[in-house]
Amino acid sequence: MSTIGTSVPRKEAPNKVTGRARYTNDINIPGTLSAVVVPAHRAHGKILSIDTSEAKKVPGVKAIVIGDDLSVLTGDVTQDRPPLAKDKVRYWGEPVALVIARDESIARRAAALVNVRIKPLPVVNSIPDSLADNAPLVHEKNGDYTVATPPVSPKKKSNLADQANVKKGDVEKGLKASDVKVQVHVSLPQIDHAAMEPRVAKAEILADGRVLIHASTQAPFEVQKLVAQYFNLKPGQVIVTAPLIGGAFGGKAAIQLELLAYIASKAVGGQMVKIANTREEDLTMSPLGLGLEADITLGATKDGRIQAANMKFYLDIGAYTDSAPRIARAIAAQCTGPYHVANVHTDVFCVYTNHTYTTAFRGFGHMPMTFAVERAVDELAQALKMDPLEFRRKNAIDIDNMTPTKARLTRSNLGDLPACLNEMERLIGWQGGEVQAVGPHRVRAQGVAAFWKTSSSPPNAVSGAIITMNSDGSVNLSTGAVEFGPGTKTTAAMILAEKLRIPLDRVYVHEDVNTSVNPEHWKTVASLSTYMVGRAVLDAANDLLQQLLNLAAIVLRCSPDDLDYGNEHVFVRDDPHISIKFSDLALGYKYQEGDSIGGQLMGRGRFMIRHLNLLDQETGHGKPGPAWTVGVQAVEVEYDQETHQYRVLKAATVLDAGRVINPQVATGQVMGGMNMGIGVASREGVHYDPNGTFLNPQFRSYKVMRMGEQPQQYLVEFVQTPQMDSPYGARPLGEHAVLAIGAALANALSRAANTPLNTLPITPEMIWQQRRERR
Amino acid sequence: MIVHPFDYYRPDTLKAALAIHEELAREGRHPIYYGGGTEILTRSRLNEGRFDAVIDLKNIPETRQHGTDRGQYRFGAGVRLTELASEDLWPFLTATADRIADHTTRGQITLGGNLLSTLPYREAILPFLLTDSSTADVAGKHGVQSRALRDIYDQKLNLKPGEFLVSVTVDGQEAKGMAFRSYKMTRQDWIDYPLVTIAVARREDGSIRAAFSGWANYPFTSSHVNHILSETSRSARDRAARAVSSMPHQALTDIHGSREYREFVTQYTLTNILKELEASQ
Repeated sequence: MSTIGTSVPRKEAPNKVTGRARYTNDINIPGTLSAVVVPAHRAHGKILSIDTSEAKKVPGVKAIVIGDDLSVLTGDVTQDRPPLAKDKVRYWGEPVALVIARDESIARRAAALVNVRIKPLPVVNSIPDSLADNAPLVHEKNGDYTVATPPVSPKKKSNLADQANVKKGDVEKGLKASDVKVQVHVSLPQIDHAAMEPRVAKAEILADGRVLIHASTQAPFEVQKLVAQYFNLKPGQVIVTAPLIGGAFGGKAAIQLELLAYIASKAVGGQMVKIANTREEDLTMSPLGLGLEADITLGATKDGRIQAANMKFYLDIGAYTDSAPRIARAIAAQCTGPYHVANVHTDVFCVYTNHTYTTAFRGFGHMPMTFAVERAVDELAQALKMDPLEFRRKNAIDIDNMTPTKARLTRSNLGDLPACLNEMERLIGWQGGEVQAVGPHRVRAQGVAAFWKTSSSPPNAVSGAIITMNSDGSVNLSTGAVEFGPGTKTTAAMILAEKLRIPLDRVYVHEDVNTSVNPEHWKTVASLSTYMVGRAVLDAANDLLQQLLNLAAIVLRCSPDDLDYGNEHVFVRDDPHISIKFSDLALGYKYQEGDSIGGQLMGRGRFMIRHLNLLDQETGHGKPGPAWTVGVQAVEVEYDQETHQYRVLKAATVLDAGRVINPQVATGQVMGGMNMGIGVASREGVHYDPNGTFLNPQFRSYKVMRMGEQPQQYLVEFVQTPQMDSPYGARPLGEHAVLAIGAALANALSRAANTPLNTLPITPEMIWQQRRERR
Repeated sequence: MIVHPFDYYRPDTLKAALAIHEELAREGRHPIYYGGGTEILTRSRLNEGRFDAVIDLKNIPETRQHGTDRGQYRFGAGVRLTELASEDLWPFLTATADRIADHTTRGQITLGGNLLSTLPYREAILPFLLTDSSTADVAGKHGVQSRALRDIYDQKLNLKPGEFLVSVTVDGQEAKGMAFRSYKMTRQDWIDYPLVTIAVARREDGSIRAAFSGWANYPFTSSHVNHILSETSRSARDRAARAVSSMPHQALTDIHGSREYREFVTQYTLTNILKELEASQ
């Protein structure tokens, strides 16, 4: 009996499909007050006055807080963001005031009566705007803010919030040695995470001083730490709970509403206050995914070997820094994509603009980065007149190569890209990159792109697991990772079931996370839960097994070394008839005479990331993550040369999963990733008008893929090259299917339309425009 | 969420609806007539649209009429768009109205609500604009008056304060006598506002009429453009190009598409429609 490798539904699935699953906003305690923000309707301006007198007259309003009432500045890396705008506003939709009232409708009515007078300032509305000489400054104090977690390298009196770089070899020499060079400029808009559940947080301050926070967050332990830090509390005083989460995609790793909920509760004497984003607020006020402009130069010899990469990435991080410096370093560290390039020089700039601020987005910067690199790689293959898949195979990074940051690659820490490329060739029926006519004005084309990603996690990230036994010998599993869809808890339970040699339904998972009950897990991000939680679970299982064997040894009058286990029994290895059930040991063993020994058995386990380091600020050298997941994605499109409309016929992913723990869930995760990536590449993007006004704050105008708009076929295959230090060899795969599918689409359409398409989203208008400009 | 309190009225007769409106207006209130409510809800989310009372017209039998009446097709203002499609009394109207919003929303949106929408699209008006016989039946001070659509449509249906739309009609013979095409062209998605929705009728005498939504801030037809499209001695492509350059106003530029792209899309769509209509002769 083995659980690993079998398709099982997620533990929470029955409650989800019957509508019984409870999310943060489903759990409401009578008497909870409601907080609503007053948003700025200017993208950049000086706050002249905030008149709350009319709003305060609305019956049921309890308090109104404005930026001047607070002194705290917040930020994951650089502390540059006031929870409520102070002195000036820096993006359209930024919270300017917080109205707390008996219920949401009262609060909204009152919020509409708060009169905010803002003197407009020139708007920094794009990356070029921001980098221009004498550009207006988004932050006059840039460079003087407190840095909470280095490294970060802001430039004073500029809009550069940070700068990271990586140097390897000699890029000038590499370009000189190249017979063919390509230069590609790409431009991608900011995008929204578009989780089904908008962000929500509740807070109350108990009479004994404890602070309870309930939030839709990927980072409950981070919320605990930062709330304590910002508001001078002891970490143990702050208790954060996160129930099931309705999609996150990185957007719920940022901390925003939790702070507003605490501020609101404090303003009303500690009563519980809820703040729940509308969809409009979730889009405009809460952080987005970053925009990108990049200049990529690649050179190769005529036999098709990449010699050099010279790259500049400019990130539109919006008005505040949040996690941008970490993302910048992740981009720098993986900047070549999964290719061996001896000579690399890459600069990554975090650029402040008067756009909504940004945070992590599924892929942690690797999605826009991969788009830029893979467009350039495809252009290079075309310039060399080589099959783009073959060109990638030729340059695929492999063991004994070094990453751009000179991290060493081994068979364990690097997936097998050539194997993935081989499998893709078969899976999609690769046609060598040739465009085929299928009717008047209609052609079919395929595009391919490859990706790699590591975690870019802090070097001290931790995880833990606690197992307790029930009287029937079943077990309860408690971990600190939240559940937002990818089956994190189920995977942890499968790993435990496998180790204890028990059926999966004998493992009960603790679905909610409570920072005062569950062991700490850094953050549920970076596709690391299987690896980190899994390792902690194995550690806890070993601890529990040792206790089971030790207690059984006493009862069975032998050495623990003589014992083995299985089928929920501990037995003597050479005579399995001498055995005892788990259930007779679970809560201690009771002798026939009635006296008992042992007590409840409980396993505890922990895991800490090892051998990582922060990248050197000068050279960028260092090890950014434990392992690199690699994969290949491809699409087949049908394109109308007259209207420039297109359909995606097939979208395919081959990913080295190390070991597939739950095929059904893994396949679903990859299909979902492709769907998201194709949505981003084909229709998504925030529109700002010349004044920086956010023009599409609803799903009727911010378009995501709808049912029926997906490709005709999604194809998924896994290569399995085990990662030796990961549970059962499994490699991270949660985020990865978004990474290169957009580039694959652009590569296919660039061939079909015979025009480089380097701007997202690729709408028919964009193709039409590019072809016009080219003529 | 609609955050401000408002009164809800559901009169059973035309007279009662008018009386409620009149009384509320006299009291200085801001009543609005209510069909499907989708726009009231979505605008309220953005703090747009001021009202403190809604008068639901769907319980009035006249607004729910839907059928043939002495050779006329009659469509009540309170008929849902999904009902228009399932009844399919006038396929041209179905083809146009069934591309508005999504199916769930069409189950709420009423014909009257779409025709009097505050959004610039109001695609359901397009087929009516291409007929000579269409009327709008309007309830007002003097009871229900049947007015020729062309007399009260100028960028929008012009109703006087307090009046409301009861139904629209078209002559069955005229409706049946024209071949039609209705295409909604969007930026990328099946469900989206139109870059341009083009409804084209080829009438029994062979003349062509076209109406457009999304091109400008209101739906329109143009006799000049219709004249160009009817010059069948010229090629479809040529007529479409001339039509696009002869529109009464410039195309919009907005988040859905630029002016130039709207022109491009309109031109090829019109070309295809003309070819299709004339091939099926």
